[in-house]
Amino acid sequence: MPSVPRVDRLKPIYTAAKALNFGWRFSDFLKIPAYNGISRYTNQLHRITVRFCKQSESSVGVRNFIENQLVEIGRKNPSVVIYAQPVRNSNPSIRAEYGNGRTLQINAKNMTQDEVSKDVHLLFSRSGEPVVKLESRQSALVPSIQGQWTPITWLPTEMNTEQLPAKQFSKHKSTATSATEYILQNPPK
Amino acid sequence: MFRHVAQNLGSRNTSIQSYRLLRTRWERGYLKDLYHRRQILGADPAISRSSYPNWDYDSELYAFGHRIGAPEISEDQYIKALTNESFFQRADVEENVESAQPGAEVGTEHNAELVKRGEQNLSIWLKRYLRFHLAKAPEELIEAIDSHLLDDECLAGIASHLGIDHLVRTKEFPISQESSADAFRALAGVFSDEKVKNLVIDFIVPQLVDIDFADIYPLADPLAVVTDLLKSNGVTEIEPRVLRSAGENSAEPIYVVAIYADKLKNVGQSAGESLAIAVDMAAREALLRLWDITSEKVLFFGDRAANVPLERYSQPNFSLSQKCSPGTNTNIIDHSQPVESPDNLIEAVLRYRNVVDAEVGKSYTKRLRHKFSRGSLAKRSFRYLVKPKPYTVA
Repeated sequence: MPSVPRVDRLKPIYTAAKALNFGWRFSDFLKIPAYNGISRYTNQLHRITVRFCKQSESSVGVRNFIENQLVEIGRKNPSVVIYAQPVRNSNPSIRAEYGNGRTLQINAKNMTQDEVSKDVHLLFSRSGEPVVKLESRQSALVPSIQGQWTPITWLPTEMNTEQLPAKQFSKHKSTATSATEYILQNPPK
Repeated sequence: MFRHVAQNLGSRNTSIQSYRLLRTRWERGYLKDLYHRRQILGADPAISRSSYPNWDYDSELYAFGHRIGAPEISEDQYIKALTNESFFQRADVEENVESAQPGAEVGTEHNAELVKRGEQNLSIWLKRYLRFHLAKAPEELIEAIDSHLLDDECLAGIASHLGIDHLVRTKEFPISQESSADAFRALAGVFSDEKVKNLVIDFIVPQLVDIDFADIYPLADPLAVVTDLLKSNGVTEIEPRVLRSAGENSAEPIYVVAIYADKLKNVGQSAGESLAIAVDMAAREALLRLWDITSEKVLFFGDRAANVPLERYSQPNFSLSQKCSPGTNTNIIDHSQPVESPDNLIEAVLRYRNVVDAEVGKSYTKRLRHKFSRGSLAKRSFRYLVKPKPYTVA
């Protein structure tokens, strides 16, 4: 019998998934997949599969999209393979596969042609990373110019030779005029 | 009459919707049991991408050619570059199966020769680029960066992101890093000189962004090397100095050390957790600064790098062994030697009792026991957790 038994509860799985922060990633920083775009931009979408039914009413939008726009999109994006799969009595769907191995699928049931076009454009413009709340909207490849602060930063060099504790290093510094300084500057008459 | 009734029955308004969320009492335990049996069984075996119905090798090669920036290469050359030598030893290929995965005719050519040629091409162009940017660095550093960027792990990462993993024809599945990197090298062997240059600038050079040069080229004795290099530049005296230190008797001491030239100029500065480490880090920092490798160095990418006449930087840079004195150790740290054993245990205990304990004192574990206990909510015994159940029996 294991000392820590595996208990049938959703909470440990959920907690583990949050700790892994992958499939259920909630917040993250901006990322560059494989340094894409630093030297040359490469479309991260590798394959897109449009699945539809030739007779079904719910596939009308997808069929119209295939007739009117799919060939032109394929011509403009030669680095993406486009598959069209007619499957009888199936739900229309659009599946995209990205360079980092992830797959995204959109259910296109009862969509109009414009909606399908908008979703295909979304799939083309993504990098395959999950959509997350951003921890910060800015990120930089170059580290800070002046560096990270440490307790040793901006220490005066006189402390090297002075024997601590010394009065000059323990004095409180302030830009406001203290009462003592005020009286010294304005002696009473 | 019958037809009229049939039409009414077929209408959507008369359909009864059933809720799929609720389960009966017996079904809940049954489904839980199925779930846990599935967990015990583990994951399904991986299936190659080419086994799926939406796969066409010719289209994939066409798209891959455009993705990598060389659409004019013919399909036969791509197939040759992506065919591993072990592909022909596969059982189904030996038995002349029709259209062996991932696709294309079996053929007879493989990429062993192309891999060697591609490796040379990649190395030549990468070294030229590095010599252009690191003109003051020694050739040993350029060799170290070259071997780091062109090893199997780095090239396999690039190949995986470009989608080469699904296209390589090889015996093994899933594909190994070595085969993936070899396919990338074979592509460099197929390409023309101009295309190889663009390949290096577009895909390999951006990996420099996150590289730590001190880790790639770890000299065994950096202080001696920096001493020799500075003395050949006219400096007469080099000494390390302790600028700051804190926490000498704590678990995390810190020393900030700088290398001073002729007692006046600070040529490198770094921190470490012991004096020896800090001096080493400062010497490495001094070397990198001497070679103009700083955080504000701007590397060229894209068209800016492609317009540079890199052919002029084919001659090797200076060698460290030429500039340093004969007695200096210019080798890299050898990790095969065993690490020294830690201090004597009794001495460590006595040092803690006499030095650290006198300064730090005892911890307040007893006084703060309410922060170390597991609280009242979990005071029950663990018997109900340890009770055997079907899903806990593995």
